[in-house]
Amino acid sequence: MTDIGLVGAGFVGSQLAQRCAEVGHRVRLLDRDRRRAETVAQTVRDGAAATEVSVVDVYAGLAGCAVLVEAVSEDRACKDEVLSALASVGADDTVLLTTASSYTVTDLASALALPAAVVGFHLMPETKHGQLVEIAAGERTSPSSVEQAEAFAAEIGLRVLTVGDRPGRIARRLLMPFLNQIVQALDDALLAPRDVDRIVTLGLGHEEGPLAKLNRTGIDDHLAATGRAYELVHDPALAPPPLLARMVSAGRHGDKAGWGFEGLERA
Amino acid sequence: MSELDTVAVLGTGTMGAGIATAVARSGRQVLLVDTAPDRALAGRRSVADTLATGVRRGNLTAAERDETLDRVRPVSSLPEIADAAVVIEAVPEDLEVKAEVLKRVEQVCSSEVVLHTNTSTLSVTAIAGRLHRPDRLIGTHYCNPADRMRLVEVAPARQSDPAVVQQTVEFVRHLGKDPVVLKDTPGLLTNYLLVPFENDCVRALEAGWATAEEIDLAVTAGAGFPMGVFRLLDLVGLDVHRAVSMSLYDQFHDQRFAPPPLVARMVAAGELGRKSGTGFYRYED
Repeated sequence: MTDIGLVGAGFVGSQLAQRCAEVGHRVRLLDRDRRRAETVAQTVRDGAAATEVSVVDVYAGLAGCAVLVEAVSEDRACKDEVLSALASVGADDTVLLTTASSYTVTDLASALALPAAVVGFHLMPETKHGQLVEIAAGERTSPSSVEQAEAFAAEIGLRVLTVGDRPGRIARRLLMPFLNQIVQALDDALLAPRDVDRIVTLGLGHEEGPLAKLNRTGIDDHLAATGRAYELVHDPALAPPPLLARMVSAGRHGDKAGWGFEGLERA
Repeated sequence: MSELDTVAVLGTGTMGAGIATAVARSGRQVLLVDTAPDRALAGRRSVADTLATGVRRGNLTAAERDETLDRVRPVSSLPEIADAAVVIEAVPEDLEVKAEVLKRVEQVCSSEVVLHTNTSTLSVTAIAGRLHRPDRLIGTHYCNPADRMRLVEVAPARQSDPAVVQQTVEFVRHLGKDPVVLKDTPGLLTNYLLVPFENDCVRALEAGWATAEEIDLAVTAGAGFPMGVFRLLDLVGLDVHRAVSMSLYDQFHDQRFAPPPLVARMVAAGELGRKSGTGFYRYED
Protein backbone atom coordinates (compact mmCIF):
# COMPACT_ATOMS: atom_id res chain seq x y z
CA MET A 1 0.00 0.00 0.00
CA THR A 2 1.35 3.38 -1.01
CA ASP A 3 0.33 6.97 -0.37
CA ILE A 4 -0.55 8.76 -3.58
CA GLY A 5 -0.95 12.52 -3.73
CA LEU A 6 -3.12 13.66 -6.58
CA VAL A 7 -3.66 17.27 -7.64
CA GLY A 8 -6.60 17.94 -9.97
CA ALA A 9 -9.97 16.22 -9.61
CA GLY A 10 -11.00 16.55 -13.24
CA PHE A 11 -11.48 13.75 -15.76
CA VAL A 12 -7.93 12.40 -15.62
CA GLY A 13 -7.54 12.93 -11.87
CA SER A 14 -10.76 11.14 -11.03
CA GLN A 15 -9.85 8.16 -13.21
CA LEU A 16 -6.47 7.89 -11.51
CA ALA A 17 -8.03 8.21 -8.05
CA GLN A 18 -10.42 5.40 -8.93
CA ARG A 19 -7.67 3.11 -10.21
CA CYS A 20 -5.40 3.82 -7.22
CA ALA A 21 -8.16 3.14 -4.72
CA GLU A 22 -9.14 -0.10 -6.46
CA VAL A 23 -5.70 -1.60 -5.89
CA GLY A 24 -5.55 -0.44 -2.27
CA HIS A 25 -3.42 2.70 -2.44
CA ARG A 26 -4.25 5.51 -0.02
CA VAL A 27 -5.20 8.53 -2.09
CA ARG A 28 -4.94 12.16 -0.99
CA LEU A 29 -6.76 14.47 -3.34
CA LEU A 30 -6.21 18.21 -3.74
CA ASP A 31 -8.21 20.50 -6.01
CA ARG A 32 -8.55 24.27 -5.87
CA ASP A 33 -12.29 23.54 -5.93
CA ARG A 34 -12.62 21.54 -2.72
CA ARG A 35 -16.19 20.47 -3.51
CA ARG A 36 -15.06 18.91 -6.78
CA ALA A 37 -12.43 16.91 -4.88
CA GLU A 38 -15.06 15.86 -2.30
CA THR A 39 -17.40 14.69 -5.07
CA VAL A 40 -14.69 12.57 -6.69
CA ALA A 41 -13.61 11.14 -3.32
CA GLN A 42 -17.21 10.23 -2.50
CA THR A 43 -17.74 8.59 -5.91
CA VAL A 44 -14.65 6.46 -5.40
CA ARG A 45 -15.76 5.50 -1.86
CA ASP A 46 -19.23 4.63 -3.14
CA GLY A 47 -17.65 2.25 -5.63
CA ALA A 48 -15.73 0.32 -2.98
CA ALA A 49 -16.23 0.86 0.74
CA ALA A 50 -12.76 -0.30 1.81
CA THR A 51 -10.94 2.40 -0.15
CA GLU A 52 -9.05 5.18 1.54
CA VAL A 53 -9.52 8.48 -0.22
CA SER A 54 -9.13 11.76 1.60
CA VAL A 55 -9.29 15.38 0.54
CA VAL A 56 -6.58 17.81 1.57
CA ASP A 57 -6.59 21.59 1.35
CA VAL A 58 -2.92 22.47 1.26
CA TYR A 59 0.15 21.04 -0.43
CA ALA A 60 1.71 20.27 2.96
CA GLY A 61 -1.03 17.66 3.30
CA LEU A 62 0.63 15.71 0.48
CA ALA A 63 4.00 15.42 2.27
CA GLY A 64 5.15 11.84 2.65
CA CYS A 65 3.44 10.56 -0.51
CA ALA A 66 5.66 8.23 -2.53
CA VAL A 67 3.95 9.23 -5.77
CA LEU A 68 2.77 12.77 -6.52
CA VAL A 69 0.63 13.30 -9.58
CA GLU A 70 -0.15 16.57 -11.32
CA ALA A 71 -3.41 16.16 -13.27
CA VAL A 72 -4.52 19.77 -13.75
CA SER A 73 -5.64 21.33 -17.00
CA GLU A 74 -3.23 21.52 -19.93
CA ASP A 75 -2.29 25.15 -19.32
CA ARG A 76 1.31 26.15 -18.82
CA ALA A 77 0.75 28.51 -15.89
CA CYS A 78 -1.37 25.89 -14.04
CA LYS A 79 1.16 23.15 -14.71
CA ASP A 80 4.09 25.27 -13.51
CA GLU A 81 2.32 26.40 -10.36
CA VAL A 82 1.24 22.90 -9.33
CA LEU A 83 4.53 21.21 -10.23
CA SER A 84 6.59 23.69 -8.27
CA ALA A 85 4.30 23.32 -5.24
CA LEU A 86 4.56 19.52 -5.51
CA ALA A 87 8.35 19.67 -5.85
CA SER A 88 8.47 21.63 -2.59
CA VAL A 89 6.69 18.86 -0.65
CA GLY A 90 8.44 15.92 -2.35
CA ALA A 91 11.26 14.00 -0.70
CA ASP A 92 14.38 12.64 -2.41
CA ASP A 93 12.72 9.33 -3.29
CA THR A 94 9.39 10.82 -4.42
CA VAL A 95 8.39 10.43 -8.05
CA LEU A 96 6.54 13.40 -9.52
CA LEU A 97 4.23 12.54 -12.41
CA THR A 98 2.86 15.09 -14.85
CA THR A 99 -0.09 14.24 -17.08
CA ALA A 100 0.95 16.92 -19.60
CA SER A 101 1.29 15.79 -23.20
CA SER A 102 1.80 18.92 -25.21
CA TYR A 103 4.77 20.24 -23.22
CA THR A 104 8.02 18.37 -22.99
CA VAL A 105 8.89 16.89 -19.61
CA THR A 106 12.31 18.47 -19.92
CA ASP A 107 10.81 21.93 -20.23
CA LEU A 108 8.34 21.46 -17.36
CA ALA A 109 10.99 20.00 -15.03
CA SER A 110 13.87 22.35 -15.70
CA ALA A 111 12.91 25.10 -13.25
CA LEU A 112 11.88 22.71 -10.47
CA ALA A 113 13.75 21.74 -7.32
CA LEU A 114 13.55 18.02 -8.21
CA PRO A 115 14.04 17.68 -12.00
CA ALA A 116 15.28 14.09 -11.64
CA ALA A 117 11.95 13.06 -10.08
CA VAL A 118 9.70 14.37 -12.86
CA VAL A 119 8.24 11.82 -15.26
CA GLY A 120 5.68 12.35 -18.04
CA PHE A 121 2.55 10.31 -17.34
CA HIS A 122 0.17 10.96 -20.21
CA LEU A 123 -3.10 9.10 -19.70
CA MET A 124 -5.29 8.39 -22.74
CA PRO A 125 -9.04 7.67 -22.49
CA GLU A 126 -10.19 4.11 -21.83
CA THR A 127 -10.70 1.95 -24.95
CA LYS A 128 -11.78 -1.64 -25.53
CA HIS A 129 -8.05 -2.41 -25.75
CA GLY A 130 -7.52 -1.06 -22.24
CA GLN A 131 -6.26 2.31 -21.07
CA LEU A 132 -2.87 3.56 -22.17
CA VAL A 133 -0.39 5.68 -20.30
CA GLU A 134 2.63 7.06 -22.08
CA ILE A 135 5.59 7.41 -19.75
CA ALA A 136 8.28 9.84 -20.82
CA ALA A 137 11.57 10.81 -19.25
CA GLY A 138 12.93 14.33 -19.63
CA GLU A 139 16.62 15.01 -20.17
CA ARG A 140 17.23 15.27 -16.41
CA THR A 141 14.86 12.52 -15.23
CA SER A 142 16.57 9.72 -13.33
CA PRO A 143 16.19 6.10 -14.52
CA SER A 144 14.88 5.10 -11.10
CA SER A 145 12.05 7.66 -11.38
CA VAL A 146 11.05 6.12 -14.72
CA GLU A 147 11.10 2.65 -13.18
CA GLN A 148 8.93 3.83 -10.29
CA ALA A 149 6.47 5.40 -12.72
CA GLU A 150 6.32 2.22 -14.82
CA ALA A 151 5.74 0.06 -11.75
CA PHE A 152 3.02 2.40 -10.46
CA ALA A 153 1.25 2.41 -13.87
CA ALA A 154 1.33 -1.38 -14.11
CA GLU A 155 0.01 -1.68 -10.53
CA ILE A 156 -3.05 0.42 -11.29
CA GLY A 157 -3.86 -1.64 -14.39
CA LEU A 158 -2.73 0.67 -17.17
CA ARG A 159 -1.16 -0.41 -20.43
CA VAL A 160 2.27 1.14 -20.31
CA LEU A 161 4.27 2.56 -23.17
CA THR A 162 7.57 4.26 -22.41
CA VAL A 163 8.23 6.85 -25.08
CA GLY A 164 10.54 9.74 -25.92
CA ASP A 165 9.99 13.26 -24.62
CA ARG A 166 8.15 14.48 -27.75
CA PRO A 167 5.30 16.98 -27.84
CA GLY A 168 2.07 14.97 -28.01
CA ARG A 169 4.12 11.85 -27.19
CA ILE A 170 3.01 9.15 -29.71
CA ALA A 171 -0.73 8.40 -29.53
CA ARG A 172 -1.87 12.03 -29.54
CA ARG A 173 0.88 13.14 -31.88
CA LEU A 174 -0.50 10.65 -34.43
CA LEU A 175 -4.14 11.35 -33.65
CA MET A 176 -4.05 15.16 -33.91
CA PRO A 177 -3.33 15.33 -37.67
CA PHE A 178 -6.11 12.76 -38.21
CA LEU A 179 -8.56 15.00 -36.31
CA ASN A 180 -7.32 18.16 -38.02
CA GLN A 181 -7.86 16.57 -41.40
CA ILE A 182 -11.44 15.71 -40.43
CA VAL A 183 -12.13 19.28 -39.34
CA GLN A 184 -10.69 20.57 -42.62
CA ALA A 185 -12.88 18.09 -44.57
CA LEU A 186 -15.91 19.67 -42.87
CA ASP A 187 -14.73 23.16 -43.74
CA ASP A 188 -14.26 21.94 -47.33
CA ALA A 189 -17.89 20.71 -47.21
CA LEU A 190 -16.91 17.22 -48.35
CA LEU A 191 -19.69 15.85 -46.17
CA ALA A 192 -21.93 16.56 -43.18
CA PRO A 193 -20.67 16.19 -39.57
CA ARG A 194 -22.97 13.26 -38.81
CA ASP A 195 -21.68 11.46 -41.91
CA VAL A 196 -18.08 11.87 -40.71
CA ASP A 197 -18.93 10.04 -37.51
CA ARG A 198 -20.88 7.37 -39.40
CA ILE A 199 -17.97 6.70 -41.75
CA VAL A 200 -15.35 6.57 -39.01
CA THR A 201 -17.42 4.27 -36.79
CA LEU A 202 -18.96 2.02 -39.46
CA GLY A 203 -16.08 2.08 -41.96
CA LEU A 204 -12.97 2.47 -39.81
CA GLY A 205 -14.42 0.63 -36.81
CA HIS A 206 -13.92 3.27 -34.12
CA GLU A 207 -16.08 2.96 -31.02
CA GLU A 208 -16.92 6.67 -30.96
CA GLY A 209 -17.23 9.17 -33.80
CA PRO A 210 -14.36 11.67 -33.82
CA LEU A 211 -16.65 14.71 -33.78
CA ALA A 212 -18.73 13.35 -30.90
CA LYS A 213 -15.43 12.76 -29.12
CA LEU A 214 -14.19 16.30 -29.80
CA ASN A 215 -17.52 17.64 -28.50
CA ARG A 216 -17.09 15.56 -25.36
CA THR A 217 -13.44 16.35 -24.69
CA GLY A 218 -13.58 20.00 -25.70
CA ILE A 219 -12.96 21.62 -29.07
CA ASP A 220 -11.02 24.38 -27.32
CA ASP A 221 -8.75 21.78 -25.71
CA HIS A 222 -7.99 20.21 -29.07
CA LEU A 223 -7.29 23.62 -30.62
CA ALA A 224 -4.89 24.47 -27.79
CA ALA A 225 -3.13 21.09 -27.90
CA THR A 226 -2.61 20.96 -31.64
CA GLY A 227 -1.60 24.64 -31.69
CA ARG A 228 1.09 24.04 -29.06
CA ALA A 229 2.33 20.93 -30.83
CA TYR A 230 2.54 22.92 -34.06
CA GLU A 231 4.59 25.64 -32.36
CA LEU A 232 7.10 23.05 -31.20
CA VAL A 233 7.28 20.85 -34.29
CA HIS A 234 6.19 23.10 -37.19
CA ASP A 235 4.57 20.16 -38.96
CA PRO A 236 1.72 21.58 -41.09
CA ALA A 237 -0.42 18.55 -40.25
CA LEU A 238 -0.51 19.85 -36.66
CA ALA A 239 -1.48 23.41 -37.66
CA PRO A 240 -4.97 24.10 -36.30
CA PRO A 241 -7.44 24.18 -39.19
CA PRO A 242 -9.21 27.57 -39.44
CA LEU A 243 -12.64 26.08 -38.64
CA LEU A 244 -11.38 25.11 -35.16
CA ALA A 245 -10.35 28.68 -34.39
CA ARG A 246 -13.67 30.04 -35.71
CA MET A 247 -15.65 27.61 -33.58
CA VAL A 248 -13.69 28.41 -30.45
CA SER A 249 -13.97 32.16 -31.07
CA ALA A 250 -17.73 31.72 -31.35
CA GLY A 251 -17.88 29.78 -28.08
CA ARG A 252 -18.60 26.45 -29.79
CA HIS A 253 -16.43 24.48 -27.38
CA GLY A 254 -18.45 21.25 -27.43
CA ASP A 255 -20.74 19.61 -24.87
CA LYS A 256 -19.58 21.78 -21.95
CA ALA A 257 -20.69 24.90 -23.86
CA GLY A 258 -23.91 23.34 -25.11
CA TRP A 259 -22.83 23.44 -28.73
CA GLY A 260 -19.97 22.30 -30.91
CA PHE A 261 -20.24 20.08 -33.97
CA GLU A 262 -23.97 19.92 -34.60
CA GLY A 263 -26.33 17.38 -36.15
CA LEU A 264 -24.55 14.28 -34.82
CA GLU A 265 -26.46 11.13 -34.01
CA ARG A 266 -26.97 10.83 -30.27
CA ALA A 267 -24.99 7.95 -28.80
CA MET B 1 -35.22 -0.61 -60.32
CA SER B 2 -37.38 -3.47 -59.14
CA GLU B 3 -36.20 -6.43 -57.09
CA LEU B 4 -36.39 -8.59 -60.18
CA ASP B 5 -33.77 -6.57 -61.96
CA THR B 6 -30.40 -8.12 -62.56
CA VAL B 7 -27.13 -6.71 -61.26
CA ALA B 8 -23.84 -7.36 -63.00
CA VAL B 9 -20.61 -7.31 -61.02
CA LEU B 10 -17.44 -6.89 -63.06
CA GLY B 11 -14.29 -8.23 -61.49
CA THR B 12 -13.90 -11.35 -59.41
CA GLY B 13 -11.22 -10.29 -56.94
CA THR B 14 -11.81 -9.77 -53.22
CA MET B 15 -14.07 -6.76 -53.73
CA GLY B 16 -15.99 -8.14 -56.72
CA ALA B 17 -16.75 -11.45 -55.01
CA GLY B 18 -17.65 -9.70 -51.77
CA ILE B 19 -20.00 -7.25 -53.47
CA ALA B 20 -21.58 -10.09 -55.50
CA THR B 21 -22.23 -11.93 -52.24
CA ALA B 22 -23.88 -8.89 -50.68
CA VAL B 23 -26.09 -8.28 -53.74
CA ALA B 24 -27.15 -11.93 -54.02
CA ARG B 25 -27.97 -11.97 -50.29
CA SER B 26 -30.40 -9.09 -50.90
CA GLY B 27 -32.42 -11.31 -53.25
CA ARG B 28 -31.24 -9.99 -56.60
CA GLN B 29 -29.90 -12.00 -59.51
CA VAL B 30 -26.18 -11.45 -59.98
CA LEU B 31 -24.08 -11.89 -63.07
CA LEU B 32 -20.49 -12.25 -61.94
CA VAL B 33 -18.39 -11.22 -64.88
CA ASP B 34 -14.82 -11.95 -65.84
CA THR B 35 -13.76 -12.28 -69.47
CA ALA B 36 -11.57 -15.22 -68.44
CA PRO B 37 -14.09 -18.08 -67.90
CA ASP B 38 -11.97 -19.79 -65.23
CA ARG B 39 -11.79 -16.54 -63.24
CA ALA B 40 -15.56 -16.08 -63.44
CA LEU B 41 -15.96 -19.60 -62.05
CA ALA B 42 -13.34 -18.94 -59.37
CA GLY B 43 -15.27 -15.79 -58.40
CA ARG B 44 -18.41 -17.83 -57.89
CA ARG B 45 -16.42 -20.28 -55.76
CA SER B 46 -15.29 -17.34 -53.59
CA VAL B 47 -18.94 -16.40 -53.13
CA ALA B 48 -19.70 -20.02 -52.17
CA ASP B 49 -16.82 -20.01 -49.66
CA THR B 50 -17.99 -16.74 -48.10
CA LEU B 51 -21.54 -18.07 -47.80
CA ALA B 52 -20.28 -21.34 -46.29
CA THR B 53 -18.40 -19.32 -43.66
CA GLY B 54 -21.63 -17.43 -42.98
CA VAL B 55 -23.45 -20.74 -42.36
CA ARG B 56 -20.70 -21.91 -39.99
CA ARG B 57 -21.00 -18.67 -38.05
CA GLY B 58 -24.77 -18.97 -37.91
CA ASN B 59 -25.42 -15.88 -40.04
CA LEU B 60 -27.53 -17.76 -42.57
CA THR B 61 -29.07 -21.21 -42.99
CA ALA B 62 -27.89 -23.87 -45.42
CA ALA B 63 -31.08 -23.35 -47.44
CA GLU B 64 -30.42 -19.59 -47.64
CA ARG B 65 -26.87 -20.33 -48.74
CA ASP B 66 -28.12 -22.53 -51.59
CA GLU B 67 -30.75 -20.03 -52.70
CA THR B 68 -28.22 -17.20 -52.61
CA LEU B 69 -25.64 -19.14 -54.58
CA ASP B 70 -28.29 -20.07 -57.16
CA ARG B 71 -28.73 -16.37 -57.85
CA VAL B 72 -25.06 -15.93 -58.82
CA ARG B 73 -24.26 -16.83 -62.42
CA PRO B 74 -20.67 -16.68 -63.68
CA VAL B 75 -20.46 -14.93 -67.05
CA SER B 76 -17.47 -14.50 -69.34
CA SER B 77 -19.00 -12.67 -72.28
CA LEU B 78 -19.99 -9.05 -71.87
CA PRO B 79 -23.07 -9.10 -74.19
CA GLU B 80 -24.73 -11.42 -71.63
CA ILE B 81 -25.14 -8.49 -69.23
CA ALA B 82 -27.16 -6.43 -71.75
CA ASP B 83 -30.29 -6.51 -69.57
CA ALA B 84 -28.61 -5.60 -66.27
CA ALA B 85 -30.17 -2.58 -64.53
CA VAL B 86 -27.09 -1.90 -62.44
CA VAL B 87 -23.49 -2.69 -63.31
CA ILE B 88 -20.93 -2.57 -60.51
CA GLU B 89 -17.36 -2.31 -61.70
CA ALA B 90 -14.73 -3.75 -59.32
CA VAL B 91 -11.79 -4.30 -61.66
CA PRO B 92 -8.19 -3.32 -60.76
CA GLU B 93 -7.61 0.20 -59.39
CA ASP B 94 -6.35 1.81 -62.58
CA LEU B 95 -8.11 4.67 -64.34
CA GLU B 96 -7.38 3.30 -67.84
CA VAL B 97 -8.53 -0.22 -66.99
CA LYS B 98 -11.72 0.98 -65.32
CA ALA B 99 -12.55 3.42 -68.13
CA GLU B 100 -12.01 0.78 -70.83
CA VAL B 101 -14.24 -1.76 -69.10
CA LEU B 102 -17.00 0.78 -68.50
CA LYS B 103 -16.89 1.98 -72.13
CA ARG B 104 -17.43 -1.60 -73.26
CA VAL B 105 -20.33 -1.93 -70.83
CA GLU B 106 -21.92 1.19 -72.33
CA GLN B 107 -21.81 -0.47 -75.75
CA VAL B 108 -23.81 -3.53 -74.63
CA CYS B 109 -26.19 -2.10 -72.00
CA SER B 110 -29.20 0.19 -72.36
CA SER B 111 -28.91 3.94 -71.93
CA GLU B 112 -30.89 3.54 -68.66
CA VAL B 113 -28.27 1.38 -66.97
CA VAL B 114 -26.73 2.73 -63.76
CA LEU B 115 -22.97 2.26 -63.58
CA HIS B 116 -21.19 2.00 -60.22
CA THR B 117 -17.43 2.24 -59.98
CA ASN B 118 -15.97 0.76 -56.80
CA THR B 119 -12.89 2.89 -56.55
CA SER B 120 -10.89 3.58 -53.43
CA THR B 121 -8.52 6.26 -54.72
CA LEU B 122 -9.53 7.50 -58.17
CA SER B 123 -11.65 10.47 -59.16
CA VAL B 124 -15.14 9.29 -60.14
CA THR B 125 -15.44 12.45 -62.22
CA ALA B 126 -12.28 11.54 -64.16
CA ILE B 127 -13.66 8.08 -64.95
CA ALA B 128 -17.03 9.57 -65.95
CA GLY B 129 -15.23 11.96 -68.26
CA ARG B 130 -14.15 9.00 -70.40
CA LEU B 131 -17.69 7.73 -70.90
CA HIS B 132 -20.28 8.31 -73.58
CA ARG B 133 -22.94 8.80 -70.88
CA PRO B 134 -21.06 10.26 -67.88
CA ASP B 135 -24.35 11.10 -66.16
CA ARG B 136 -25.02 7.36 -65.62
CA LEU B 137 -21.86 6.79 -63.52
CA ILE B 138 -21.51 7.07 -59.75
CA GLY B 139 -18.83 5.95 -57.29
CA THR B 140 -19.70 3.36 -54.64
CA HIS B 141 -16.93 2.38 -52.26
CA TYR B 142 -17.54 -0.78 -50.26
CA CYS B 143 -15.42 -1.62 -47.24
CA ASN B 144 -13.65 -4.97 -47.09
CA PRO B 145 -15.12 -7.55 -46.42
CA ALA B 146 -17.95 -6.22 -48.56
CA ASP B 147 -20.44 -8.93 -47.57
CA ARG B 148 -20.24 -7.91 -43.89
CA MET B 149 -19.23 -4.24 -43.63
CA ARG B 150 -22.24 -1.93 -43.52
CA LEU B 151 -20.74 1.31 -44.77
CA VAL B 152 -20.89 2.21 -48.46
CA GLU B 153 -19.49 5.59 -49.46
CA VAL B 154 -21.48 6.99 -52.39
CA ALA B 155 -19.68 9.63 -54.43
CA PRO B 156 -21.51 11.22 -57.35
CA ALA B 157 -19.32 12.41 -60.21
CA ARG B 158 -19.78 16.05 -61.14
CA GLN B 159 -21.68 14.75 -64.14
CA SER B 160 -23.95 12.27 -62.27
CA ASP B 161 -27.70 12.57 -62.88
CA PRO B 162 -29.42 13.37 -59.52
CA ALA B 163 -31.83 10.49 -60.23
CA VAL B 164 -28.84 8.13 -60.40
CA VAL B 165 -27.70 9.37 -56.99
CA GLN B 166 -31.14 8.74 -55.50
CA GLN B 167 -31.43 5.28 -57.10
CA THR B 168 -27.98 4.35 -55.82
CA VAL B 169 -28.76 5.40 -52.25
CA GLU B 170 -31.89 3.24 -52.40
CA PHE B 171 -29.96 0.36 -53.96
CA VAL B 172 -27.40 0.42 -51.13
CA ARG B 173 -30.16 0.59 -48.49
CA HIS B 174 -31.82 -2.42 -50.12
CA LEU B 175 -28.57 -4.33 -49.60
CA GLY B 176 -29.07 -3.71 -45.88
CA LYS B 177 -26.12 -1.33 -45.86
CA ASP B 178 -25.67 2.30 -44.81
CA PRO B 179 -24.98 4.69 -47.68
CA VAL B 180 -23.17 7.95 -46.97
CA VAL B 181 -23.14 10.46 -49.81
CA LEU B 182 -20.07 12.65 -50.04
CA LYS B 183 -18.23 14.74 -52.59
CA ASP B 184 -16.08 12.99 -55.16
CA THR B 185 -12.64 13.33 -53.61
CA PRO B 186 -9.70 10.93 -54.02
CA GLY B 187 -9.86 8.19 -51.39
CA LEU B 188 -13.35 9.33 -50.34
CA LEU B 189 -13.27 9.78 -46.57
CA THR B 190 -12.05 6.35 -45.42
CA ASN B 191 -8.82 6.22 -47.41
CA TYR B 192 -8.41 9.99 -47.35
CA LEU B 193 -8.11 9.72 -43.55
CA LEU B 194 -6.60 6.29 -43.13
CA VAL B 195 -3.76 6.33 -45.67
CA PRO B 196 -1.96 9.44 -44.34
CA PHE B 197 -2.48 8.19 -40.77
CA GLU B 198 -0.87 4.89 -41.74
CA ASN B 199 2.00 6.72 -43.43
CA ASP B 200 2.50 8.88 -40.32
CA CYS B 201 2.82 5.66 -38.29
CA VAL B 202 5.35 4.22 -40.76
CA ARG B 203 7.37 7.44 -40.61
CA ALA B 204 7.29 7.32 -36.79
CA LEU B 205 8.60 3.76 -36.95
CA GLU B 206 11.27 4.71 -39.45
CA ALA B 207 12.30 7.65 -37.24
CA GLY B 208 12.76 5.27 -34.34
CA TRP B 209 10.05 6.66 -32.05
CA ALA B 210 9.08 3.14 -31.02
CA THR B 211 8.75 -0.41 -32.33
CA ALA B 212 5.87 -1.58 -34.54
CA GLU B 213 4.30 -3.35 -31.54
CA GLU B 214 4.57 -0.21 -29.43
CA ILE B 215 3.09 2.08 -32.07
CA ASP B 216 0.27 -0.43 -32.59
CA LEU B 217 -0.39 -0.26 -28.84
CA ALA B 218 -0.48 3.56 -28.99
CA VAL B 219 -2.88 3.42 -31.94
CA THR B 220 -5.28 0.90 -30.37
CA ALA B 221 -5.25 1.41 -26.59
CA GLY B 222 -4.32 5.09 -26.99
CA ALA B 223 -5.95 6.52 -30.11
CA GLY B 224 -8.91 4.11 -30.13
CA PHE B 225 -8.38 2.44 -33.51
CA PRO B 226 -9.82 -1.09 -33.70
CA MET B 227 -6.61 -2.64 -34.98
CA GLY B 228 -2.94 -1.73 -35.00
CA VAL B 229 -1.83 0.06 -38.14
CA PHE B 230 1.06 -2.32 -38.78
CA ARG B 231 -1.20 -5.36 -38.34
CA LEU B 232 -3.62 -3.75 -40.79
CA LEU B 233 -0.93 -2.88 -43.34
CA ASP B 234 0.37 -6.46 -43.20
CA LEU B 235 -3.16 -7.65 -43.94
CA VAL B 236 -3.73 -5.18 -46.77
CA GLY B 237 -0.31 -5.88 -48.29
CA LEU B 238 2.57 -3.42 -48.49
CA ASP B 239 2.46 -3.44 -52.30
CA VAL B 240 -1.22 -2.54 -52.28
CA HIS B 241 -0.63 0.17 -49.68
CA ARG B 242 2.18 1.67 -51.71
CA ALA B 243 -0.01 1.78 -54.84
CA VAL B 244 -2.94 3.34 -52.94
CA SER B 245 -0.63 5.92 -51.32
CA MET B 246 1.01 6.78 -54.62
CA SER B 247 -2.34 7.22 -56.35
CA LEU B 248 -3.50 9.61 -53.61
CA TYR B 249 -0.17 11.46 -53.58
CA ASP B 250 -0.35 11.94 -57.34
CA GLN B 251 -3.68 13.70 -56.86
CA PHE B 252 -3.08 15.68 -53.64
CA HIS B 253 0.68 16.35 -53.76
CA ASP B 254 0.61 16.43 -49.96
CA GLN B 255 3.59 14.61 -48.46
CA ARG B 256 1.44 12.82 -45.82
CA PHE B 257 0.01 10.74 -48.67
CA ALA B 258 3.42 9.84 -50.12
CA PRO B 259 4.49 6.27 -49.33
CA PRO B 260 7.43 6.49 -46.90
CA PRO B 261 10.76 5.06 -48.08
CA LEU B 262 10.44 2.16 -45.64
CA VAL B 263 7.37 0.94 -47.55
CA ALA B 264 9.32 0.96 -50.82
CA ARG B 265 12.22 -0.92 -49.22
CA MET B 266 9.90 -3.55 -47.79
CA VAL B 267 8.20 -4.05 -51.16
CA ALA B 268 11.61 -4.32 -52.85
CA ALA B 269 12.62 -6.95 -50.30
CA GLY B 270 9.45 -8.94 -50.90
CA GLU B 271 8.17 -8.18 -47.40
CA LEU B 272 4.58 -7.67 -48.45
CA GLY B 273 2.88 -8.56 -45.17
CA ARG B 274 0.78 -11.56 -44.32
CA LYS B 275 0.67 -12.96 -47.83
CA SER B 276 4.47 -13.22 -48.05
CA GLY B 277 4.97 -14.36 -44.44
CA THR B 278 6.87 -11.21 -43.46
CA GLY B 279 5.88 -7.61 -43.16
CA PHE B 280 6.07 -5.45 -40.06
CA TYR B 281 5.47 -8.73 -38.22
CA ARG B 282 6.43 -12.33 -39.02
CA TYR B 283 3.81 -14.96 -39.75
CA GLU B 284 4.34 -18.68 -39.34
CA ASP B 285 1.76 -20.58 -41.40
